[in-house]
Amino acid sequence: MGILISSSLLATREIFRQPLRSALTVLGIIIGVVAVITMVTLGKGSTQNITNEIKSLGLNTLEIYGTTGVLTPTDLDLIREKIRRIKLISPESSANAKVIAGRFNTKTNILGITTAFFPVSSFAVSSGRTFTEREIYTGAPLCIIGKTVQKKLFQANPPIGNLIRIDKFPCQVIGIQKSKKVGGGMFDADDQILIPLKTLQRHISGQQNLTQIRVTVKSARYTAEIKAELTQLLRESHKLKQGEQDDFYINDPHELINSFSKTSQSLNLFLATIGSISLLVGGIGIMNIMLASVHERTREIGIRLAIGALRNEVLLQFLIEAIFLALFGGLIGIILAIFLSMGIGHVMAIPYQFDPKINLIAFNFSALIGVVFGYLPARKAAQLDPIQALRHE
Amino acid sequence: MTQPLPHPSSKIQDRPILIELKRLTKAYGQGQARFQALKGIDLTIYKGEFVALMGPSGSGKSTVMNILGCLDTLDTGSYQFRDVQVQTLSYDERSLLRRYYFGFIFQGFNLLARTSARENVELPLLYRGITAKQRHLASTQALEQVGLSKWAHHTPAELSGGQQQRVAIARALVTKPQLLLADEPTGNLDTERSHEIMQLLVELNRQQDLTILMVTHEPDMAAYAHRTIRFVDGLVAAEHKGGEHGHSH
Repeated sequence: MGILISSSLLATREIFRQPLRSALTVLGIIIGVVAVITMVTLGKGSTQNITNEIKSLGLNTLEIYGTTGVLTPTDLDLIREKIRRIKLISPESSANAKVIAGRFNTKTNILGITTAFFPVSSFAVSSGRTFTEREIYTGAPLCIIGKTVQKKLFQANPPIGNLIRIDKFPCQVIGIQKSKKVGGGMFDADDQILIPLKTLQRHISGQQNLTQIRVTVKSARYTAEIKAELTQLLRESHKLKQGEQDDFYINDPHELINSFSKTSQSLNLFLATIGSISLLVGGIGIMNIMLASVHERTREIGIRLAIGALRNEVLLQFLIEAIFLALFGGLIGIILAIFLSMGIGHVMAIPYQFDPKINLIAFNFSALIGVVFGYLPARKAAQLDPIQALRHE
Repeated sequence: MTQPLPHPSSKIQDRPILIELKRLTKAYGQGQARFQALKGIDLTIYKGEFVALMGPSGSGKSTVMNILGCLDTLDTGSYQFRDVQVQTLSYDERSLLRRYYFGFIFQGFNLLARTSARENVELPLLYRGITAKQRHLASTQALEQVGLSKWAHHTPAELSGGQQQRVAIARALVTKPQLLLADEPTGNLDTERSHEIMQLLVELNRQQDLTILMVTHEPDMAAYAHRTIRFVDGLVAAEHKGGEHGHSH
């Protein structure tokens, strides 16, 4: 016990006797630990980000869209009629169109919607208003534009009340969509114009089919069951034979989250592998310096052996030193990683969350590296011949 | 106070035997380079004796010292320490023999650099599993014995050669060993310091009945011993009472 304590004290003293040398020795470990922790923490943060995004779209919302087939108004009616435990149905149809306002024009996505769209999408306007039930029903020539469209068509001018032409069809701007900018996404949710579904069908796309039907289930518990009911209903409606593939797809956010976390898990594994390699390189650095240390302190080892230290006790002493050195690196790495994760997280708008698990793993792994790479030098120290060691200059 | 011990040299054969070497041989190297360092040494050391080992370099005195100190092994013959046949012991058992019965002092002092005198003195106690409090007590006492109480917190670099050797002696004494092995303890010291160290050793030998084996090549230092054993070519050449020239202090 006394040996353990004194070895620990000695190891600490040796490390801080030359702090710069110690830090350089464990640079590999520091880099490895920083890399692993930062990558895993940020990876987790961005997963959290995307999961939150999916959740904000509503965990109890199913998205139905056509793949090889199309969704018809009949499908919509059937869903309204047959499927119970549904809160909201939002039929949507989109078309790309050229939009003109004064001397500016742009190409954007025109989304035809009903009033159900707003609660299903947790949609809000930053100024102006949304459509009324009546405007949706009658197919009024009104629109709500996204921020990106606003910038392109109106620059800094106030757009509300102005007329824009969507494929020559004039619409009045009544609202501006509250920005839904999501960090890192390729899809710009602000580059779109919302108009009543009927308006789109009549004046712009000229057809009745729907691009997507979104269904909000009364409770997230039912999503799987209702997905099955919807599948059966649509297969019947589309007259698909047994064995024939679905010509539509139903997106369940639960599945999305699951598959996403699976992907990020394998990504984490990959990152951990890279980090482990730098940790191994760090271990070799430790072995190197420990071999040098054993050589430098040959006389000390001789003294210890002469006064009756057992080989195992000398081995333990140097092993402890290697472990402390590795832990020293691990600790510096953890501290740096915390700051780096916070910094990068701040820049990339990823929420920082201290992950005790990965920090603990990194810490223990550092210790393990100390044991593995410290063993050979420690053994070398223990095997020294006391007479030779005492003569060493 | 305990009864003052009679001077060990008076009736040495009446005392118990501490060490007995019989037909001890030792060779180094192989083939052409083979060197027979010891060619059959018989030696008896009694408890409480102060014995000087002398001889030219290569005579085998250091080899005998190393074997006696369990730092080296013998080839043939036997080495009995008290009732233990040392040649039958394993490496670790010999380490434990050193730990519990022997103290060492060296020509080069061999203190741990960057470590205070006190910590150096406490080092052997650490391996005996003595508590910090007991260690402190014992090291205080040992440093006092060698007259270095005020230097406990100094590192070897801050001490003179004589002081360093005193620290080394304190380190050897702190475990209350039965045998002190001194390998040219005055080799790095000037004459005055050397005599001071020798007087300290004589004092320890008398007061604590400590058995001392000392390798030296200085007749003046050997003169402090009860007996001088002279080695030539791996054999015991002569034994004298007192120093090399037979005079005693």
